[in-house]
Amino acid sequence: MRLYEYQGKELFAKAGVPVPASRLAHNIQEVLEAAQSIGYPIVLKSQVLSGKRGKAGGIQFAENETEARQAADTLFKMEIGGQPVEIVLVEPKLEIEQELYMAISADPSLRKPIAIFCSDGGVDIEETAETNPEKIGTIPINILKGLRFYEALDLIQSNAEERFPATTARSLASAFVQLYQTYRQFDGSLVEVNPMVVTPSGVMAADARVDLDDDAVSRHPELGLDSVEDTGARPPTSLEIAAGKIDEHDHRGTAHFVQIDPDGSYVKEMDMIPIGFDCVGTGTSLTTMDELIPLGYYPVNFCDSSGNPTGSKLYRVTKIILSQPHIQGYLFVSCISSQQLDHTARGIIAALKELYPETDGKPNIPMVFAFRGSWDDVAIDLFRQHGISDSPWVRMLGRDTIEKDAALAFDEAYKVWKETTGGLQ
Amino acid sequence: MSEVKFNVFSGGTVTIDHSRCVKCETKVCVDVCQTVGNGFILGLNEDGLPHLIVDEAQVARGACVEDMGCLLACQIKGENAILFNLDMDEFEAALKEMDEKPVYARSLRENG
Repeated sequence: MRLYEYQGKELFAKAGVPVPASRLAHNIQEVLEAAQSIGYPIVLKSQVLSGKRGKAGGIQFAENETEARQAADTLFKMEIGGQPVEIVLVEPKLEIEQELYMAISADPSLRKPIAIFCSDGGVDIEETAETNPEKIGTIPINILKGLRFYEALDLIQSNAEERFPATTARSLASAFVQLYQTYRQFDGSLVEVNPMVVTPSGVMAADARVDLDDDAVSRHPELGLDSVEDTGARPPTSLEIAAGKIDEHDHRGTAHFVQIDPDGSYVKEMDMIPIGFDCVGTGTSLTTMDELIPLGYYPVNFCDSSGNPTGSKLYRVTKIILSQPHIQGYLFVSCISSQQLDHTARGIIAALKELYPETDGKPNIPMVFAFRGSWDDVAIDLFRQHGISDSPWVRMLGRDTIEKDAALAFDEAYKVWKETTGGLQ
Repeated sequence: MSEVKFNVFSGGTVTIDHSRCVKCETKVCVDVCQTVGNGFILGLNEDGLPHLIVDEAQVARGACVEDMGCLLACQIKGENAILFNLDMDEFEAALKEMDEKPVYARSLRENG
């Protein structure tokens, strides 16, 4: 889960990392009030989760009230990466002598956190990694010992263009240690400062990127965050927040749900048919998507309900998937799974019978259920016993089928449904 | 007539209405719990009605595996006496925020 810059800076400040004085503003008047208390010149930073904010014009400077008013007006009318600007962070414009890059990230190949330092900050670090990889220094961190001050100091000085004065180097190393403490304390997956700036009054985190481990958010109620899947560069939808609650305290299997096209606009633009989607196994999700998309069907959500989830998890997540207004079908596909699929089936059936009481669970959209794995025969039989598979647009597949069969079965069911009913009103 | 009501780990309650159970000839909920449900939490009391055979606190911490087998079996082979009330407050809130009807509440065109 990615935090807004102001949230990241709040964590930095608590850890002792120097950050500029700042105030949040939700409208022009609040910007002017903040500017008056901070003093001109100021910088106005739009708070969105999208990257490339600066290049999109989401950061503006103002020397006086007239400029502040104009800049605020511009920002509050902007959309960056599809997100409207609703919050602006107001800070003093810093007198920057040098811009640096500092981060703590996870290195899966080392199975350790790493500290990253680059003396070229304020620019795209991925670009530097391409063009000048020698400028980026990294060290692995032993989590039992943490990042030691002298390790941070060595990383900074050995990767500096010119060795930093001792005072500056010590301040930077202290900040690095405090960034690592933030990373550990809040179960971070990335803590990044780009740029960490050197000013006449000392070093300061001019920006903050903090990503937390989605599965650990529930361990930090003090942050007041919703426990949701990583939704990338946009805030979570209300359905994603609801789905996040399913796994929050119950770790018996998973129900990871993310909306790929929340408002259906992408599907409309691509002239495809939106469908709801649930798979056992992420790999199965991808291979099934690969089969569906050439047929003209686009899963508007991702869902992985695996690890032997309870029936109640499936019940809850199925209700969420089927509440998406635009979908014109639903697929459930399991990988060749060791999880007890009759439990999975019961959760889905319980949801269908509740959502479709008038038809005793028979849905109003085409559906395919491909159960492959432990107790798959029982799972399929349960759909028969409850009469749901009697629907003309429901198809049941078993372990002798592949993802392509599921996609083709859906295509056939969709055509029957469309021809028989004309589709949804 | 009494009922059995217990909390489940994921949040929510299960209620078994004994006024319906007295008419039930199968007591299928117990069979299902003791075969497909890994928890084995339901048995028959001295009156032949389903009740918890493990401590409620153990049920609430996960002894009930929430497979929902008792619920579904009771619907088709019993007297529809079981109610699962599984909390989804954020989902209810999300539904209220939606501008359009969820797909399950939408009607089919004239052919349907």
